[in-house]
Amino acid sequence: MIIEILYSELVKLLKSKASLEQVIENLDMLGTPVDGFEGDLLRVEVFPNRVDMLSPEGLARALNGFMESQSGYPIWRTEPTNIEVDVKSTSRPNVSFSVVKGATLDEESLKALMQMQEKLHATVGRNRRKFSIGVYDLDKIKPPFVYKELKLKDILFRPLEEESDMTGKEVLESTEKGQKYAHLVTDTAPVIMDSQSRILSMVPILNAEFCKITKDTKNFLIDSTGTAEGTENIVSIIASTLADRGGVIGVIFPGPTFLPKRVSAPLEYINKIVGLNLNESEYMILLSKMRLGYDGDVLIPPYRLDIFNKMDIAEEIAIAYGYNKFEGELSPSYSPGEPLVSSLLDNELRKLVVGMGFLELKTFMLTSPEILKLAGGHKIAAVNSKSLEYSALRPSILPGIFDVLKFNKDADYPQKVFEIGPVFSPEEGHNISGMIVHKTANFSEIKGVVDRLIGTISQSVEWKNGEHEFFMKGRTAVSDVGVYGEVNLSISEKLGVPMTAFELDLNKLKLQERIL
Amino acid sequence: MNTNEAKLMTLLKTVKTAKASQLSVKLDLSKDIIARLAYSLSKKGLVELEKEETFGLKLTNEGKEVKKTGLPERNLLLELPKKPEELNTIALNWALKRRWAEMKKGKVVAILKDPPQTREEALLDKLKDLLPEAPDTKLLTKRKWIVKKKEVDYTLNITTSGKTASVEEKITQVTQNHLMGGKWKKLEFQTFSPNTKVPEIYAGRFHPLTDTIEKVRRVFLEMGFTESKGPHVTNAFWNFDALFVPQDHPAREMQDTFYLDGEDKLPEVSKKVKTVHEKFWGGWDENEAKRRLLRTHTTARSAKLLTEVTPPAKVFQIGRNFRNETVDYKHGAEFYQVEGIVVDRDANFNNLVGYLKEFFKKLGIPKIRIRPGYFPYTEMSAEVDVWFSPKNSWMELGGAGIFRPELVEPLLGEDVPVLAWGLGLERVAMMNYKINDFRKLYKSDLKTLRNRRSLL
Repeated sequence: MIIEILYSELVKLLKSKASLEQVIENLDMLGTPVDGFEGDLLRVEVFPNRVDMLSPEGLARALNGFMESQSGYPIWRTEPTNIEVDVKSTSRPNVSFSVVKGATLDEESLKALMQMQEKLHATVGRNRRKFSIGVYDLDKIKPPFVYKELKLKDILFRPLEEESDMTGKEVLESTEKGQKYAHLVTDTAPVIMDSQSRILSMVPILNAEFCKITKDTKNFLIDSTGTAEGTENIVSIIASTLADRGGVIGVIFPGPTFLPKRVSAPLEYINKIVGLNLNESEYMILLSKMRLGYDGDVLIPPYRLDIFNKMDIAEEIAIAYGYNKFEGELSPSYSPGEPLVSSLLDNELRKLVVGMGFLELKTFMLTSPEILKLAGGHKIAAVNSKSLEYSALRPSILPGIFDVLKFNKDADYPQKVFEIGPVFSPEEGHNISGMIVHKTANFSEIKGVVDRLIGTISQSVEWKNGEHEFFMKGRTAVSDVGVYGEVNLSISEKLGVPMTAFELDLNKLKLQERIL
Repeated sequence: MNTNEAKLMTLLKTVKTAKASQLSVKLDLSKDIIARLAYSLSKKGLVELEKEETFGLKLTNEGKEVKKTGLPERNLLLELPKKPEELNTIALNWALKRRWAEMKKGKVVAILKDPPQTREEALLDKLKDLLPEAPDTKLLTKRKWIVKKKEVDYTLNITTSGKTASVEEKITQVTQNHLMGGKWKKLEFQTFSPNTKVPEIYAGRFHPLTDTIEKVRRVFLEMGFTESKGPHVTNAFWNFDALFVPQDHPAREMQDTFYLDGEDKLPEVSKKVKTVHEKFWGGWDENEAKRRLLRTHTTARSAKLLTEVTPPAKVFQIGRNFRNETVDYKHGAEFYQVEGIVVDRDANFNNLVGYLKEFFKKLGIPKIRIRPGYFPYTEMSAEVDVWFSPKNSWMELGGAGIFRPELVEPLLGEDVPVLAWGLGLERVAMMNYKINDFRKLYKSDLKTLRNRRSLL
């Protein structure tokens, strides 16, 4: 997921001076590669496991640690609050709240906060189905709050950016967000209300206009609701972002306690799996570069959604140590390299056919049913493709080769081409097909090619006259290993030049093994 | 002087001057050959050439038809009387215009049975004598029976040195006959220049992707890896579930993956995978896992391999994969992936870096950079950048990591580090063959394939 932030905003949040090159290098090595930089706009890729870095504050928090200008477990001021939430039974049963007081935003940081919220919805939120988030101006609403399910017709409020009050039904029908997320609610939807029965949010669709946050908002109420557990982590991500803007976190129940999660990751294990030889002090220093605490256990801040066990700590240590600082060493266990017999057969045949002057092609295995009509009555496996062009698996290589030749009419003749590859009829097979096109292409010539192929691998094959949609009546040879002959004139007339072809089933061809 | 040159000069010594078109008839050689001979003799200073452009008249297909079967309006008279709509409009209009026929009671009837020869018919008869400039030709061009055609001819005039030049014939093609009984010793042979243009010879060749595949195979085999391959059609279980990819992961959606009809039976090991999914992702639907699909990565096979191998093992695969993507210069619906895994109780991240460095060095890419990455089934995860000197920049080429214990334990039966890395083969081929568009690799343009350079 790419986020766009202002480089100047990021620099303001850094605790030490660094050149642009250093910042980019450190972002790359921290696991948030820079995708582009233009003017003041920095495009950074944030991997789905580090959604806490979807804001400039989150990036700076991690970067300060990584660059060792502010490392260690992040400390925020927290205080208890007397705000109460009455949680009733709803269709999104998981819910968490938190408040942040005294944070300072401006135009840019408000924009960044909105971007973060939107990206969280898209990623971990699985488009709001799993989690959704709301942020409100605490000074415009009155606790205690209630979280409950209401019938759509009983919901009445003025949604964000709307001119007047709407019922729940109207929200779903006539607002953009309503239409987009209507599938997430039934004839009821959860709502958050304040003590004056004002609806703050119709979850997970839209918040109310009256309590929306602006750049002048100082005190914030944050909520996350969801169908899965983990809403307190989502709330933590937003709360810690606002705390980094000078806010004091107020703990609410239900909601994150902001106490660290503990993971046991013995140093011995870390050294073994990472391939280092750290002592305990070095271990602790590397942990603190990743903003993790240590007291025998590793202490994980609540905004980190991606750390479950010791393997995850190993990755933190490898990143802190610096991926580019590892020397690299091959593991000592011996093993011989063995090729696949099928690859050896492919290569022998490939060399033979190339020796006869054929040019190798690689075409797609997915093709259009239209092209496959040429191959006749095979059973074709269809897929759910975005385009008809790639909607069927080829049962034969020949139609694909013919399609290629249609686009090569201006290339010098004779044209001799072949391809080796999988076919699906609909069981997977492995074929070799070739085609010859020139003024005097004929049965004798293609028979010569096939006889040479079969003869070289000294297999005896019994060919008989037969019939095949792709080939010309009376000039078609068939056997249990395949087919060859002159191409059906209704096909070759499309090219206007005589054509011959062969297709053999590689699973039926047996090569003798070497004795020594 | 070769045989044809000698023939032509002998003739020209008698007649002194001749048109190429006449020579073509007299010597029974095509106009093209005469033109080439004339050009080569003029370069030797034996003849002088005068180019002549003339306009000739040529019958069109319709003109030929008329000459054979007669004037349409004349033929029309034989059909009369008839209703006008049953007749050819053009022929009818001409017949009416010439007053050969008229309308009577809604029917066309003939006025003349056998009208005298028209000017057009006379012209068609003596077309050869007709000059292109003659005003009469318009009568025929208007009806699209003839067209004017540019004709180029040359007059060959023998020069003074041509008159005295020896026309001794030199042999071009050595024949078996020449080699018998030492006949060749008394003969003179035409010399050849290496600067003449000759017909192209095309070699049978491997496709650039095959060349790249073979190079990568060699590197893996030399590093002690065993080759493996798996089916292209597999199921969601091996492609996703066995790899710890949650069932609500966006990559599993229809718009990203090709699904086929029908479902597969799940293997025994799916029970253990189910437990892991339920623990970490809060649920698991076996019907979702049974869905048949075109594999999106060769890692689907690697997952299955883990149920088959005993550590230590090193395995590699090079195979085609499928993603339901819109095709552009960077992506295709089909692409090759190269993948290596090392299953080893003592393996660690530093070993992974070691394998990556060795692998890319052997592939001819000495400078690589390894940085943190993310894949749902690895921890640690790494991206591999290679230094691309033509662009003077890092280029993302592959992914690597250690399979998560949540993935390995159920499949292998124990938690053993499994180092894994993969890269897109087309990217390597595109770098090597200086191709900037993915689609060009699969376009199969014969000229490009025939003329591409060979690489070590």
